[in-house]
Amino acid sequence: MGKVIGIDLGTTNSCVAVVESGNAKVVPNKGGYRTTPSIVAIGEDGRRLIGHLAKRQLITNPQNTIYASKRLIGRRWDSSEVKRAKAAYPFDLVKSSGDGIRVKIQNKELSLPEISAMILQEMRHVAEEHLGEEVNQAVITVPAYFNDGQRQATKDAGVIAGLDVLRIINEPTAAALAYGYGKGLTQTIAIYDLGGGTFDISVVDIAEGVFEVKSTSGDTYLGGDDFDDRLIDHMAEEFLKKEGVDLRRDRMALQRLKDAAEKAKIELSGAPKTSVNLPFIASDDSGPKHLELTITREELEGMTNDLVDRTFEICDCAMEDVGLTKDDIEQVILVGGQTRMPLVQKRVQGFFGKAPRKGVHPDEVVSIGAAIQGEMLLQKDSDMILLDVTPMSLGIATFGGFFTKLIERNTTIPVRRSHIFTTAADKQTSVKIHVLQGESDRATENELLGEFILSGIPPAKRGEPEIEVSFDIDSDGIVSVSARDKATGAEQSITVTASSGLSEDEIQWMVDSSKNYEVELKSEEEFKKLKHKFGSVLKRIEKAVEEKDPDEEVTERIESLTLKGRMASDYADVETLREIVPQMAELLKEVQG
Amino acid sequence: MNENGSYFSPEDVPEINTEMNISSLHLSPAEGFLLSQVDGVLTVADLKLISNLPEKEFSEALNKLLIEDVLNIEGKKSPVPQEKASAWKSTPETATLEDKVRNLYLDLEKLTYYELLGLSPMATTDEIKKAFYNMTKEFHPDKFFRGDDEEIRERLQMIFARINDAYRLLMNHQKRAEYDRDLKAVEKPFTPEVTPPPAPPRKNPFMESVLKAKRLFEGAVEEIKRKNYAGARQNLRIASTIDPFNKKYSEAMSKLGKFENIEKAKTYHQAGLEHESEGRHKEAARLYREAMLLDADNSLYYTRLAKITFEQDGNPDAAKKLVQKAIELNPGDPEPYLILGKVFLEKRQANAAVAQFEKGLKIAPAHKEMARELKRAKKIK
Repeated sequence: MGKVIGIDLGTTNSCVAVVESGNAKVVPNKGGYRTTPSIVAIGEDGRRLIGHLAKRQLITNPQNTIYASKRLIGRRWDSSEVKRAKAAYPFDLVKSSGDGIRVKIQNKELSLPEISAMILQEMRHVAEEHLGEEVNQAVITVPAYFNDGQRQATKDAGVIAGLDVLRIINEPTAAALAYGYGKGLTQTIAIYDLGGGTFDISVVDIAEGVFEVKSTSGDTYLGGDDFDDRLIDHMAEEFLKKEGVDLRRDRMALQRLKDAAEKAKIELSGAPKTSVNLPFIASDDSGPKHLELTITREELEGMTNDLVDRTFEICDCAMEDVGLTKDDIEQVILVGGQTRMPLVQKRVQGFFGKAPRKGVHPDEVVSIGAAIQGEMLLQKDSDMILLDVTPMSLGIATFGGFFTKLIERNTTIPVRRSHIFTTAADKQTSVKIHVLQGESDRATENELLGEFILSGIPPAKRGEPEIEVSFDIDSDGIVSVSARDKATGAEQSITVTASSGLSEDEIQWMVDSSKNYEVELKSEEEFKKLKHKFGSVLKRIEKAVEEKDPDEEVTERIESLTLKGRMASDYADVETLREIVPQMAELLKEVQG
Repeated sequence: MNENGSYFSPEDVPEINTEMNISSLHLSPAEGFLLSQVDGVLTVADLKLISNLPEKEFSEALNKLLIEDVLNIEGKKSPVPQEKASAWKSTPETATLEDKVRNLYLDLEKLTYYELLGLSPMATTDEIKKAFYNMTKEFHPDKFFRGDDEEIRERLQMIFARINDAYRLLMNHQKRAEYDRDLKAVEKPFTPEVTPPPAPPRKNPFMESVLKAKRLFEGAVEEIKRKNYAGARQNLRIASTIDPFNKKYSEAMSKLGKFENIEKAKTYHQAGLEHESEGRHKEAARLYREAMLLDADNSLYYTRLAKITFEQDGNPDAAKKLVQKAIELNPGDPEPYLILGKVFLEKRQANAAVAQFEKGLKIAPAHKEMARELKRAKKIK
C-alpha cells in the first residue's frame, strides 16, 4: 500500500505532510519552503505556474493569476462573496451553466475545483519528489465551517488531481489530532484557527485515544485577508487625502497595495513600526506619484481590533452551545498564520484567561494532523478514533417557508436521522424536498444544498400520506438524503448535489409557490412547531404594522386572525393553526407591500 | 447462517411454532403479513414472491421471525441463543469485527442503552463517557474503512448511531431521568392482550403494485419532459422496485443514468486532456478510462485512450481493439483511422495501414498528418 499524504489546502498558503516511520512531518518544496502559496498563474503559452513563482509574477500579470480561490470554491454565483470578488479580484469571473463560477483566464474557463486541483497536484508533486515514489492517497482539510457544497467541491478537486481522497477533515480537528497524537492526554482543548480567509473555533475532548469534537463554529468570511484589507484601505485613504487619487480604482496599483499590506502586517508582528514605499504607483498631469507611509503596530491594532472581537463572539457561541465555559478549557491552541499577530495572541490570552500553547506551528499543524488521520484510517489496528461534528444544522423547507431541522449542529458524524412528513394539500401526489443547511427559522435565509421530487404518492387527504425523509451525513461532512413513501415501502436515495442553479427568484417557491410540492412535518411536535411559527409570524406582523401603518380593513383582518390563532394555540388546535399560519404569512407580505 | 447473513435458503419451508405466544411480540406490519402467509406448505421462495417485499426487507422480516422463534424451519435450530442482555458480550475475544457486528446488530433494538454500553443503571457520567469511548473504538465506522462488505458497513453505521444516541441521552440529566422512568414502566408486568397478527391486505397486492408502478412511470415521463432528471429517477427507481418484472422501468432508468453520466464523462475527458498536455499520461489514461466507463458510446474516449496506449504504453494490440471500437461507434471520425493505420505500420502490415489512412483521408481530405502517414506507408509498401 502506498503512502498517504495530508494536504492543508489553504486560502493563501498550502502545506503537505506525510507520516514516515511513525512521525508526521511537513515536506518542504523544491525551494526549501515548508508552505506553498495557493496561487496559480497561466501564461500566454498555456504554461502553468503554481506557488512561489506564480506569486512573484502576480504584480506583472494580475489578470492571469488566480489567488484566494478557496474563498469562491463551492459558492453560488449570486452569493455575496462572489459579488465582492467580482469587484475586487483582478482576474475575470464568469457565470457557468447551473449558476456555478468559472475563472476566465487566457481565453479558457476554469472551474474552481479545477484550480484547486492544480494546487493539490503541486502539493502531491512536492511529496512525490521528497518520497521518491508515487502518491495516490490523500486526506484534505477544509475549514470546519465549510458547508456541504464547499466540501463536495473540495473533494472533486482531489479527484481531478488524480488523488484518492480518503477523507475530508476539518482544519481545527486536524490541528487537535496533531497536538494530541500519541501523548495519551486527557484534556479539553480549544483550537482557535484564524487562517487567511476563514475563522474556526473547535472545542475538543481528548481521552483514551478518542478525539471527540464537542462543538465547532466559525465564519468563512473572516480571516487574514480582512486584516490586509483594512491596511489597504488605510493606505489608499491616506494617499487619496494627500494626492487626490484613489488607488483602489486601478487594478495594478491595488495589487501592489495588497502586496505591501501583507508585508507590512507581517513586519509589524515583529517590529513596532514599518515603512511602506511604493514608487511610481500612480501618475497624473503633474507627473509620477509615490506612496510613502509609516505605519505603527498600534495603528494596525486600532484598525483591526473589531475583527478580533468578532472571533470571540463566535467562541462564546461555540462554548454556550455545549454548556461549556472558558474555565473548562484546559489548553488553547493557535492555528493559522494570522495568529502570529501579537494583538491576536494577547487578546486570546485575555479571553481564555490562559496563555496559548507554545510550540505548535500555526502553518504546519493542520497538514500534519491530516497525514495522521490518513495513517489512522489505513492502519487497521489503530486504537485512536476521531469523532467530529457537523458545523451547521441540516433540514428541509416545510409548508409556509419554514425550516425544519432534522440534524442539529454539533451532532457527531457519521449520523442518520429520519422524520415523517406529510402532504400540505389534498390529493397531492408529489412533494419537493428542499435540503437546507443553516440556523435560521426561515427557509430562505439558509443555504440551499439541493432539491428533489418524490412523486407517485397515492392521492389522499392532506396530512394522510406518510413520507419518511432520512438524512445522512458521512464522515467527510457530506450529505445524502433518502425519502420513502411509507405506503409503498419503497425507498430511494440521492446524494445532494450543490444545486447552485437557483436564483433568488427561484428560491421564492418556499414562500408562495404552488402548495402541491410542499411537505409538512407530521409528528407530535407539529403543534409545538406551528405554535412557534405562529408566534414568530405574529411578531413580524406587529413590527410591520408599526412601520407601515396599514389601513383599517387590513388591521381588522390581522386582529381577527390573531385572535383565532391565539385561541388555537391555547387549545392545541392543530387544524386551525395549519390554516392560520400561512394566512398570517400572506398578510405579512401584504402589509410589507 | 449462510454467507448472505440469512438463516434460510429459498427451498426451506417455514412452519409456525404453535407454542409461541405471538401477542407478546412487537412485529412490524411486514413481519405480521409474512407471518399470516406461512402455512407449512409454501417455501421461502414462494413467500418472497407473494409478499412483494424488497429483498432486503423480506429477509430481515423472515430473519426476525426465525430469531424470535415464531417460525421454525425443520432441521434447523433457532439461530441465536436466547440471552436477554448484550449478546455481543458473549462473542469470544478472538471474534472478528464482522462477527461482533453481526451479533450486536441482532440485539441492537432489544438492548437498553445501559445494556448496550455495558453499564449499570447507576453509572456515573465518567463511567458513561469511558464506556462510550471504548465502544467507539470498537464500533466506529472507521474501523471498517473501505471494507467491501456493504452489509457490515451499513450495520456498523447503525450500531455506531445507536451507541452515539445512548451516550448523548445518558449524558443529559433530564433526558436520562425520563428514560429511566420509561424503562421502569416497561418492566412492569403487563396484562396479555390477544391481538391477532395484522390481517393481510385483501386486495391483489400484485396488481396493485403493477398499477402503481405504471403511474410512477407516467410521472417520470412527465418529469423528463420538464427536464427534472433527478425527479424522474426517483419515480423510476420506485417503479422498478415495486414491479421488478417490468423491464421497461429499469431500461428507462439506465437511459436516464446514461444522460447524467455523459455530462460527467465530459468533465473527466476535459481533465484528462489537461493531464495529457502536461505529460502525465498515466493520469490522463485513467481519466479517459473513467470517461469511457461512464459513457461507453462516445468514440472520442476510446480514441484518446488508444492514442496513449499505443504511443506511451507501446501496446499496439490493446490500442487496436480500442480504435476498432471507436470506428464501430463513429465511422465518421478520421482520428481512429490514423491511429489504426499507425498500429498496422508498427505491426509491419503496410497494406492494411494504407487502407486505413485512405479511409481517414476520405473523411478529412485536409488532414496533414494522415496524408504524411499515407505517404510513409506507401513507401514502406
